[in-house]
Amino acid sequence: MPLSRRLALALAMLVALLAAPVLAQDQGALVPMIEVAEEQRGMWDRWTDFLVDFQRRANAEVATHMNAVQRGDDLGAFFLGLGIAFVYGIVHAFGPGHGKFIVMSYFVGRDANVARGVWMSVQIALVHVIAAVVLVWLADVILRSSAGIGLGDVPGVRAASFLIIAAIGLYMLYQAIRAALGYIDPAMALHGHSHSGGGHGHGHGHGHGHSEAAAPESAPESAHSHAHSHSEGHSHGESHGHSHAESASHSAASGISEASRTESRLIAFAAGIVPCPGAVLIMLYAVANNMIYPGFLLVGSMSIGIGLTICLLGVGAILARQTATRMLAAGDGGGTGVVMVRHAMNFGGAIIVTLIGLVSFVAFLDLPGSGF
Amino acid sequence: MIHAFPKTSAACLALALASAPLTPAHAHPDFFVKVKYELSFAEDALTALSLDWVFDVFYSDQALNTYDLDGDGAFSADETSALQEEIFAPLADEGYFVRVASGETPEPMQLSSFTPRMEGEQLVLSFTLTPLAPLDYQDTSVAFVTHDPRAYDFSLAEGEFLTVEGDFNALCRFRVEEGTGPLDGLPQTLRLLCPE
Repeated sequence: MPLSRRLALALAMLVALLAAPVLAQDQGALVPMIEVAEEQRGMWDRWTDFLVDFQRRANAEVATHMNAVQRGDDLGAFFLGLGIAFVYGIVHAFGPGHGKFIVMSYFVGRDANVARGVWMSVQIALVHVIAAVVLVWLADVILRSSAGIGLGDVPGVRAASFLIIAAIGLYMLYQAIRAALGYIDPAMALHGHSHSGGGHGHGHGHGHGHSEAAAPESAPESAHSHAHSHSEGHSHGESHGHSHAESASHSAASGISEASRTESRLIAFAAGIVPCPGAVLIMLYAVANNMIYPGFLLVGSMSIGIGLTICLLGVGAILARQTATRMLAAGDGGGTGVVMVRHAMNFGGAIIVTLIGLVSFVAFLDLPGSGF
Repeated sequence: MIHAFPKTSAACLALALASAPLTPAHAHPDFFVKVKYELSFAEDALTALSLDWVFDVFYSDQALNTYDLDGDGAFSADETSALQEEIFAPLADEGYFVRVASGETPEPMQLSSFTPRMEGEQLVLSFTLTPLAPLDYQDTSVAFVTHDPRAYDFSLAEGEFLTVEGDFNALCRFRVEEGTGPLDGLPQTLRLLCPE
């Protein structure tokens, strides 16, 4: 080894020895040498790191602003806190949970219009807020009786929501099977009734009295549908000659039947009924520190953010389904391709919703305590 | 409408991808915890791993309101017992979210002490885990991390997050890295490296 290299090595060792803590025996705790490796994180990991880091900061910021509100320092702090809570909700909902995957799967498996996707998101946000407030109210009542309550005391609600989701998935599957067997139109699986015209698959005979106002973005299709007679005695003969894709549009634009409303409400209820633990803690903190109304508004703001994310993803799923069927309709004139894709989406959506419910329920049964 | 497909489908795909993490819930924490470690060594082996979990203000407030029944801002023996039983003990099946590996082998740890306290507005849970047998760290690389894929976000505390005490070879160093082997992919894994 050349002399210069030996000298350099010796110098490096000397520096390391001087820089390093001496042997720590009997000298109390010492800080050792620590280096931070440059982590070769993939894009997905960096994305999740960003989401987590943002939520970490937002959580601390909301606490800081709530303290400022409590001290009466600055009303501006409160409004800033509302804004942070809103963005916190948006980012938070991009992680797993909050029913967004259920909503997406549901809308992949169902013909629906954008307004319905938005409305379901609003319902989920509302249920989220109400669930958080009710839980905190219950906690407050029970705490006052010194019994104690924690988030882990909500297993019944959690289990019930998973089972409701699984039940809706199974119902969707049942309808998808009926549609595949020709009892109902694949585009009409939601409405759950058969057509007198047998297997021709038009979207007529349902939704009488529907309003175009319910689906303004679908006005062209709606106008198309109204060109037909909706009288009791009308015929669905082949003479109509319009495509299945048009039928799908008709279905999407035809308003919402009572059955689909019930189904939507159940989905929103099941997806929203398990309150966000983070929101519950904020609400509990507000109650404990006599900031009930600011706390309510903060949780509301966070829930609106959560609802917005769910809305974006739900509407994305609706548009994806509509676009896929329209594209296929343009390609094969509304023939078997559209029907097959619609069957596939009906089955796919139903199976995913069912699996989410069942897998979540099984995982829940196996879940150790993870909080209060 | 067809001409709009690429834009629409790209947006839908982006949204679908953004919502994809059904699996590890790492991006969806509800409780935020800063972690500090103190490692104890004796006779060239790691004998104990002590941790401080410093909770976020909201979680801390709920814990204080739930378990500090006499309202003195501290946890008595009875209050500690209740808190441990209800919050901490259920995490035993998960190894208290602390994963330790010696080389390629996961090392089971057992709880030897537990103390809750409040530091200002924040709950601090201090506890010590010990390996079933002291871990030789000079010949075999030891690594550890605290991680929960579900609800808790554990991250290293700012500033001094690691200290050592006892018979520790000062030529060894720690590296904060992405875990490998049994700790594969876990961020902020601490690996103890010693010169050969």
